[in-house]
Amino acid sequence: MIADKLLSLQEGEFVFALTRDDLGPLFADRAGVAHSALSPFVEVLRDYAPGSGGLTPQTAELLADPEFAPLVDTLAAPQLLIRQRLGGGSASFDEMRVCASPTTAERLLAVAVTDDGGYLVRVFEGPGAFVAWWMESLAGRNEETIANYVPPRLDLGAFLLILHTVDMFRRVSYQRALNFDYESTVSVPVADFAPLMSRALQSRDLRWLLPTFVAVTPNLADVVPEIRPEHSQALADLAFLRNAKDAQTGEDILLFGEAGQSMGVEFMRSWFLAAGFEFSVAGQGAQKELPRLFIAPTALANHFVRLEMSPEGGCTVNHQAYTYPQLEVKLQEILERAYALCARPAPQPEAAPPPPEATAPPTTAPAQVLCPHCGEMVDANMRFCVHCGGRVSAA
Amino acid sequence: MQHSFTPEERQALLDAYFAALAERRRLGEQALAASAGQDEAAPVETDEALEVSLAALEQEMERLWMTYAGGVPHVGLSRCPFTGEVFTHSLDYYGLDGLWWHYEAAARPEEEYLPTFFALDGALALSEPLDNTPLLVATGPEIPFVLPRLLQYTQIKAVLSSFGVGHHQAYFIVYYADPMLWEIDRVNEWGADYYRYVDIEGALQVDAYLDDERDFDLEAWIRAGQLLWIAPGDAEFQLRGHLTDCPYLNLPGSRNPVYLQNGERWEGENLDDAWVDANSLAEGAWSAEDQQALERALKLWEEGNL
Repeated sequence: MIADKLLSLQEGEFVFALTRDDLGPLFADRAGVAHSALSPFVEVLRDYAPGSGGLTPQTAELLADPEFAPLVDTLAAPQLLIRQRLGGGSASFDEMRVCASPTTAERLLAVAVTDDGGYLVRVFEGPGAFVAWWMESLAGRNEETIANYVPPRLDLGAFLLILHTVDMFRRVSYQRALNFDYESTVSVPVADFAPLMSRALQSRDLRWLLPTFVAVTPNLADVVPEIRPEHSQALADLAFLRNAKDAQTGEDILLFGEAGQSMGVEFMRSWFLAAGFEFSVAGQGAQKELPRLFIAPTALANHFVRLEMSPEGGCTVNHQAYTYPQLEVKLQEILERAYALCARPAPQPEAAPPPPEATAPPTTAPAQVLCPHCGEMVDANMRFCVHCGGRVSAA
Repeated sequence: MQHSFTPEERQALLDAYFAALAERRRLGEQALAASAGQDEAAPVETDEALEVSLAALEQEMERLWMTYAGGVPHVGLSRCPFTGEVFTHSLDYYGLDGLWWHYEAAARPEEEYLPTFFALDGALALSEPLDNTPLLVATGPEIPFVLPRLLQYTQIKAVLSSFGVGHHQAYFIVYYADPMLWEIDRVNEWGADYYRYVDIEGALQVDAYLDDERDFDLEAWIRAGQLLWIAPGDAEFQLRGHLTDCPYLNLPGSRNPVYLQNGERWEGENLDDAWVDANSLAEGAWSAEDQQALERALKLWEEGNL
């Protein structure tokens, strides 16, 4: 479970345990803070009737804890919420929510459900610390680049067909293995391809890539893709599948091309997990600036997918096959951007009175260090130099 | 010129430019002849009218050069493998006789670079008949290649595409970086002796660098995901990362840089050696004494005494 991974603490890091029954009394009754829709505990707090519950002594002590007390406001009504769903490969479905507010400086608070239905709250001292933990816990440790067979700006419909092709390669390979068949050509009947895709989508079976993508990528239902003929053509153009006739039966079949075989073998042998990310920022306007992500690490690459909405309402995907350092840089870039959006002041109406003096503390620019390779100044929380690409700090 | 020039407009501009160039050379030789045989210590007497004519010609050539540069078409050539955005660049695809191809003073308009754009390189498979231009044209090797110096960085990828230039086949090798690398030399724009880029502050910069190590084994780079390709004639610029049916592998043609001038073609690394010197110069190896020696030699050459 993701909660177990949150317990792998470094020196000076904190994790707090809360029970489900403590949430209402803690936030509504004792701390007296109002929750927002972005609270990681929103479902519980929404259903809580004030004054109807009691606080365990352990949680009551937390309110006096100088490390925990400043986090209460952010946990109740954060400015930034990152929903992360996990599952697929050999991992069961799980969810983690990460929240932040300028009032808790650059700290990110990660919340996950424990085996007994309670919650763990882990405090990360900034986007860099969170990304470092995420990479250590979940990313594929590949350092070499591999071919990326999926071009950026591909229609979501074509991308779903590609995921299904990878699953079909795995399925056919497993069937051949069960039949002690290592000589026949790896193929799938044309007539089976679409019906099996429909069954896969309905199954929600996280052992397969396509259902996993649909399950862990947040709110995919609002971009229902349309599969068009050109999407099938893309499978041929990109060397995933090609049409053929079965030499013996004359049946129309699909043979796996270079891309279909390569990704099929990769996911069959070494896919272990997938994660979906959705970012929400309080207030209007910032939402469309934040991406929705799907990441599927394997032994060869960290498959990174960014969903991009077009003004016409369509959805394209940008897929990259990242090395470990590349994914680390990209995740940090996205998290820092998300944090900057939540930290920026909300637009004020022209005639609005001046804000009160006691507002949130200003965020400070990150400290800078010298890159040991090129000598340029880089942010201290960057792990790789933006000038020369060299590693700045130890992994 | 606000719009891209038509073939007729382009030809008229080039005709006027080359006529002015020929006239300037003629007047230059006349001025040289007039000063020949004079005492080195005495001031060179020149015909004032000749100087006025030369200055007017220079001005006219500059005007034609600027008009031409403003009319070079911008065309989609490639696609960024990180963002999926189409890369457009100026290109005189009518022929190699255009000033866009003038190696020593390439006439190119301002470009709108993608944030991930790193460098533009290229190769060109020449076909007969060769373009007859009085200007030096450097088309690079005849077959596509990559620069290992750049692709050693995992954050740099190259995209190979092709385009017709006159009756020749051009190969574009566009390098992209994400995140951007600021501290390493890029490479001269294909066919030019400089490269342009937008620096970290957002300002346009011009610099120069040429590699002499090229790798023509594209298969290994495609397999490693560092090189992608676009099928010839693909108006959608679909990026492909597979080897199957890749039309750019094992092409016949010279691996040496190719040069054209006055209808003549030659190839080799001789100019490369000069380029290496130019790189050394850029690094500060060229001293004031070297400059004075060069100026003395040029003066002697002009006077026919070398």
